[in-house]
Amino acid sequence: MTEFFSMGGFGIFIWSAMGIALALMILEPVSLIMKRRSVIKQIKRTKRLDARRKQN
Amino acid sequence: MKINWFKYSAPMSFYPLAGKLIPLFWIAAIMLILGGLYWGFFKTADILNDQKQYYRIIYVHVASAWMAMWLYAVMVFWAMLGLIFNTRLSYMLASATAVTGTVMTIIALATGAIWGKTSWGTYWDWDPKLTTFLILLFVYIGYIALQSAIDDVRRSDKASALLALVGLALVPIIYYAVNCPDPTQCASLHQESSLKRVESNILIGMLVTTLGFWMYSFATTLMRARIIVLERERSTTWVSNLPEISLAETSNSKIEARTETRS
Amino acid sequence: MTSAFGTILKRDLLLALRRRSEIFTVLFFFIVVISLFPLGVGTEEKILQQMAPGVVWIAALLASTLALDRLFSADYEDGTLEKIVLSPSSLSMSVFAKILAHWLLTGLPLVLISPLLGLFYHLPMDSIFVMMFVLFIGTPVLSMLGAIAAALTLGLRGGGVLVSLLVLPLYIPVLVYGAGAISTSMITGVSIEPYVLLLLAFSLLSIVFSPWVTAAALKISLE
Repeated sequence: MTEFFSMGGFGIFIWSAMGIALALMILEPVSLIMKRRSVIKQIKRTKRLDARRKQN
Repeated sequence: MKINWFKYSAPMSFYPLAGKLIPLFWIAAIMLILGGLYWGFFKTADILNDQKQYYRIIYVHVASAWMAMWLYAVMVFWAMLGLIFNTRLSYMLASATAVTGTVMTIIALATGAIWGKTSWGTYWDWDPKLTTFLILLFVYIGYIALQSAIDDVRRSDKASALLALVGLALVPIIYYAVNCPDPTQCASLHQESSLKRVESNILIGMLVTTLGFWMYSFATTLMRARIIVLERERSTTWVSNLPEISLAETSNSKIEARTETRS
Repeated sequence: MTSAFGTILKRDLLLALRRRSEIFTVLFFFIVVISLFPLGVGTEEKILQQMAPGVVWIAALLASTLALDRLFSADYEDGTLEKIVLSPSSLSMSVFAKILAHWLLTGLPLVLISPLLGLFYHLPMDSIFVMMFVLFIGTPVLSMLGAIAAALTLGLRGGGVLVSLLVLPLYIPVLVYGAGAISTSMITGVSIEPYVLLLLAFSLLSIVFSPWVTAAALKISLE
């Protein structure tokens, strides 16, 4: 197992390359999901305000 | 049979369609990337002996580098379509593609530097291909910066589309200049990229991973495009009729509670 | 068509000659940047000679991007630009006149002052002439490409920094071959012809296409 992870001494390079790619490719969709939530929240807020303005 | 493609150029019909497609692209992306890496890591043990183990970086490196270049072409394609047909959705897709392209360029540069350390013994060398990717990064960032600097949506769409076209015209010239600083001869640290010389098991791993990265790009681009659609069409009725925008009871009661405490 | 070209060219030159300080600001920026390098990296003759081609070109790139801000902004603010865009004469010709005037006021002075800077860096006489020549054929590309970016960022907050971000990467071919020509001129027996031909090609291409693209960009920005 350790032999697999060390990869003939290149392990740190290979795994850090994989790690950077993985980190960025998780960060991007996560930030998109958060952005989507905040946009939806904002639209809802304006919609609520509009609805209340109509009531009054 | 004639399909009306312009039907899907309306944000209203694009939005639900993209919503259905995104999970499919995610599944395809995860399966292809894992499969490609598995193939590349475990089916190549006999070729990649101890001295060549670092070759495993190449699956992620080549995949992201190809996508970085391909996404620029895709971005220019949408920008051009926008300028010709003046469809709003094309511009939205162009700007959605740009960010994923930037991410891919950064991954390609980072993994390229690590690859360089293992095979050439230095993290950074002013090798033509690395330099070209650095410039590609600058061009992507310029596009995004111009777009976010202009408040008027119509102007920002058109201006950045024109910039993308200018970039496309100049990138080959820049590539040539970086590749051949002395016009009488061109030199490169990178191996001549001929796919024929690559061992077939490595090639399979590379191609499958690239396909997975492509599916990933589809997924994130569509996600971002949906957000842009929501932001720009927020005042239309179809947006406020969407199920995710409907005001659920829980949020209503929250509001009432808040107004009560305030009064 | 030609009359609009002549009128705009004459007007821009006249306006600039009435406010000469602006021309000198760009020129002195160029000189200051170039004089700072020896103070930073040491004054050894060999190092300076080796650096000179790159330093001169980078200073020229920075000076010309700095000047781009003025290309359209004054006319934009007082409404002249809108008149030019709406006038029946060809917009790309009018734009070409403006860019040409801009190059005469900011590019040409750099070419003329460059021999002095060649002396700062101990360049041989032949290389100084080569430097003047490649600056003469290379700086028009800077004005031409810069005009596109200036038109795209017209009237934006913080437009100056944005222009440099957009345009500096596009200047790379000129930098590579412009500096390459000066460097090769210091090696005996190597021809600089390939460099000069490539620079001339860039120059001609940018002169043909840039006014047209800049006109399109102006229309987008003024819509």
